[in-house]
Amino acid sequence: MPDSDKQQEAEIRALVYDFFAEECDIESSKLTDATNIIEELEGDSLMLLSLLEIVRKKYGLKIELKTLGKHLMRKPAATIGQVVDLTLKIVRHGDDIVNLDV
Amino acid sequence: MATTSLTWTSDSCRRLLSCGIDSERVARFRRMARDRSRFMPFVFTSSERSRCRRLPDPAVGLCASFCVKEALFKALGSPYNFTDCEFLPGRNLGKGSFALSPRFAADHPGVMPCVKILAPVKGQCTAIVYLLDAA
Repeated sequence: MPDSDKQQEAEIRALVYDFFAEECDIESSKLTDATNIIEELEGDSLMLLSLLEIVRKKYGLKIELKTLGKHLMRKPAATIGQVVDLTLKIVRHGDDIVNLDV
Repeated sequence: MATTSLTWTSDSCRRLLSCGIDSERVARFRRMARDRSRFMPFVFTSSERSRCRRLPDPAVGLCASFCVKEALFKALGSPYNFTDCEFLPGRNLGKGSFALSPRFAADHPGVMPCVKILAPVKGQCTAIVYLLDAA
């Protein structure tokens, strides 16, 4: 993996962890990739949409909610690690995310 | 946009296809109502936000709007762009309705959505969306 990709992945991982730490009022160090957002953090769709809005603004993306919804119906994101993967795909592929193999 | 506030009843002449329900805490929308940077333009349209800001409690309007959009998603069983569905506050929350974009109508032919918005109880808004057979 090129260094720029690794850097971007680390940046997105930090963004996702910081987001859930603040939203759920929990120390970031207590979160892991296996943390279940709904069962352990009482997260919901509004939380995920808030994160997506931050990502859209930060990276200047135009991805549509309908596209994201289609992708999530095929591949749900239940854990922090899965949300990190999802966010990376959104940043790298935008609306083409729906055409990716899942 | 086409507006609807029709409420389905058991003696309705139209066939009920499906329904969706969503409930959210108003408190979740307080920061968004206060802080412009927290506004979600791919969920709410700017005119929707303007309408909600004119309400005595803008957070209730945003909460009701989100409930309607989520309930519609659940009733449809498939994703759509939330900005294709705009919440239109009424004189009170229960009189609220929503407007659908032409794109929504084109994507979902043959369905007529209608909504019932329940006034906040213990800081929680609830919306029920019914999809009726438009034929």
